[in-house]
Amino acid sequence: MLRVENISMRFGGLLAVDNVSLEAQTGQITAVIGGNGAGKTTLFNCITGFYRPTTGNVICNGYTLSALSRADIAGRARVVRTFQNIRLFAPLTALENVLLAEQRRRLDFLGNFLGLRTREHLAAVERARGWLHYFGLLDVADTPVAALSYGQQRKVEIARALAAEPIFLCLDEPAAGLNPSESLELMHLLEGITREHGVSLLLIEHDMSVVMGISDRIIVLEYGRKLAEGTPADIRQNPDVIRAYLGADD
Amino acid sequence: MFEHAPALVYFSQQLLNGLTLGAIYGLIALGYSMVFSILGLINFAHGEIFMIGGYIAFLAVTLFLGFGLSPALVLLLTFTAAIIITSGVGFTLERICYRPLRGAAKLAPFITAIGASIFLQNAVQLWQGSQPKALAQFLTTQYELFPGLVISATQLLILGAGGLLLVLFTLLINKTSFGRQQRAVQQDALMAGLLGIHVNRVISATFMLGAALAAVAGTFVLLYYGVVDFTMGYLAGMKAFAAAVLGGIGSLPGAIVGGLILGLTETFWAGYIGADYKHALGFFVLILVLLLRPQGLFGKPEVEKV
Amino acid sequence: MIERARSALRFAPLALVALPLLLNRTGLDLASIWLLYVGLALGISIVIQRTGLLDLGYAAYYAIGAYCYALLGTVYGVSFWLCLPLAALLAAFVAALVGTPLLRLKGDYFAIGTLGFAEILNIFIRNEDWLTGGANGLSDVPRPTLFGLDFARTPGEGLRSFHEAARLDFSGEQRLMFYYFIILGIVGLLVLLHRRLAKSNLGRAFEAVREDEIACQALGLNVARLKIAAYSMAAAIGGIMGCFFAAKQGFVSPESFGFMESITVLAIAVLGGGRPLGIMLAALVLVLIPELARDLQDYRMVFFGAILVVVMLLRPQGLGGLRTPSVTARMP
Repeated sequence: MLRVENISMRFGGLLAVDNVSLEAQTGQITAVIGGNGAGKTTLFNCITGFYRPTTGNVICNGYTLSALSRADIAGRARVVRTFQNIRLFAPLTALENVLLAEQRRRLDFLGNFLGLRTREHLAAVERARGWLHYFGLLDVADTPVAALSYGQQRKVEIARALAAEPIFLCLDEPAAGLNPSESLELMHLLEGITREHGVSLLLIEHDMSVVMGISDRIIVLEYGRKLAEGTPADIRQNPDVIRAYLGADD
Repeated sequence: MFEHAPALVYFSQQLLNGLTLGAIYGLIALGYSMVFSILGLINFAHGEIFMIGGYIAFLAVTLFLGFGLSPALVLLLTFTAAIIITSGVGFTLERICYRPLRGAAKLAPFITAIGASIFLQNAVQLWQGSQPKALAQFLTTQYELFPGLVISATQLLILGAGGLLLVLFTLLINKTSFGRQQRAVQQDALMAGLLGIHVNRVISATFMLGAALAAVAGTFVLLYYGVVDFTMGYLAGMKAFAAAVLGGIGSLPGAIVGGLILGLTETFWAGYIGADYKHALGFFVLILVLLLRPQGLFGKPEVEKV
Repeated sequence: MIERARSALRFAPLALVALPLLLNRTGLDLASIWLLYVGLALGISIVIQRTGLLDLGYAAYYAIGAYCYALLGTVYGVSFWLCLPLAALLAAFVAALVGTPLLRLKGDYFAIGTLGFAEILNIFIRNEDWLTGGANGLSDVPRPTLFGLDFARTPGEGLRSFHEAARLDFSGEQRLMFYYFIILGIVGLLVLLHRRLAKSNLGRAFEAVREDEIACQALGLNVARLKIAAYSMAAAIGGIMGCFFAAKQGFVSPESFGFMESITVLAIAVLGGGRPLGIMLAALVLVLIPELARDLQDYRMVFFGAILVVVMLLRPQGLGGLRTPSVTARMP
């Protein structure tokens, strides 16, 4: 379970996140939604250690994330993130990108350096190929990622994050920039990650419709505060959410 | 009272010399700071611009003295010539070495800057020979403020003209339309361009302005030490850069204060401790500031964007 | 065509081994200098190209290696062959020590920091006469021997002379040839190291640091440790080259390790695009041609500065060819 306790984040005079608490259950898909400026990305950066929250804690797998370095959040607490604007290692191939996530396991550097095909190394390549296969990327495994389409790059980034063996995978607007059919396909794949591979997901999304179908639990943010929380069905009927999203029509 | 306190006289003399040196560093540091704040680039060749300013000044003084002009006129013409020609070099440097690489990976413009620096230094050596150029007797008047405490006419000039320049410069940046345009480009070059500011013109002008200040510094060095040398740009440039970092790179008052602090530290170090590590001081300061307070004395800390 | 050129390249090592047969004394000496710069550039390219860190103070590690042998060799009589690994260790150790704070600096600031460190070290060497001989340097650095065989006409104490052991007439070229083969061997090993690095996890991680540190952190990679590893590795190579330089010249002084030395090595690496073959050609252009054409000597540095500018303007990524992936999906 990933628990966010009373997080606030202040930038100068702006309170971007105001005392938000939430829980994401292991084995489930949790989505945080909200319009532009709702504080989603700031909250996300606080959870994954890229911002130090002004107050509050994030606890996951027995670690207090706000006390760990970014690398330890991924490597030890096993909370791994992706980026809204996709951060891949551009000249490296898709396979190399995914393999890099294996690196934290202290693969036998010396043996690998000497060119020995160690069992660990072969297993790492096999696992990386597995994730690429899952996302239908095996054909482009040896292509530099800079040459891939936007949708493919998005998938490589998620595959790479999965290769780091997260317990919680945090995705920052995974559907941003994808067309409706790509986005639908990606959501199916994400659902499979949790249902078949047992990786818990925390999604940030601005488009509610994208995540409705797959989420177990949804948290709605507005102006840095938690507006509502519940199952997709609850959220769909929540009057506050309807007002916020559709505008009051009374 | 001074005759009874040789230690105090010595101290005052060091203070005076340190301020003079610091003013020179400050003038060079301004060029680094301005270019950095507008392009995010360390103009590594700026030290050579300063050196070229010194050489132009040397040639001008020699030429105009040959005409038998009065010292005041020689001085005026020398500054004018040094400023105009050196600004031209600054302008050309930006056009050839930096503009084509704007937006390229960060290492590239830095390496062209190093290349330009080597090129300029050795071009001057080829043109003027490798021997330092010494000035014949010019402006050598000295005034004794107290017995033992001496200020030279050049020092007066450096402190006076340096202070005046600083005031003019601050007015230029804070009060004129050019200053506003420059700050707009600093904030967001793309947006400034969309609003109708000629970004390239502003950047060129910034380089020329920085070069002009370096030319003044070069002329000061020529007058103060009576000699210029084609290798002087590197060390002076590095020290001025250290001063700019110390003051907070991008901050104009910071560059001046940083220059003064470095000039005073160096002079007092050499005066009281020894000259052995005098030239290392700037580098020590540089590294310490970078590590302990990278935003310098007057700068704002950088925020990392994720 | 390209295939043919590539297969011809396979004979390059052989050609390099046979090269001394064609060279006279000056030629042998120049060839050793060429390989020395190739080795230095191979070392610095680990930080510059592979890890994306601009090191402007590489000459510091070159100096550390050179003074390591000059001091240990003259004062304690430590042999050249023992000093090679010692110089590498010492340089790597200093690099880890200096790199730990400096590598926290970003981009240009790191570059300036390394420059500052190298300058301070150089000033230290100039000032501390008691240790380093100051600006005059240290002379009479002992000549390396080959399994106890000395290359002098009259061998040192307890040594046999090479020409007697090999039943040859004494000739000064034998020593130069010996140096050539030492440096050829070292450079050969460095080329192998480069190849292995390009295929290994470690080399790939260095590249990831170059491309995006934030993404590395998000994957749990220890960016600081990787940077220190790359920086120390390059420093160790600089140390080895310095050790060889001191032995070959028999003399060291701070003159040889100034800012221009760092820049020369950097320029070769940048021009060579970080690849062994490119570096060999770049070193040929930047070091050897100016040495050969005496008339051009005065223009050497102007030419050098201009080349740096022009290469960066035309190809900001350097002259290197396409990247070869470290691993392919069809493997293993």
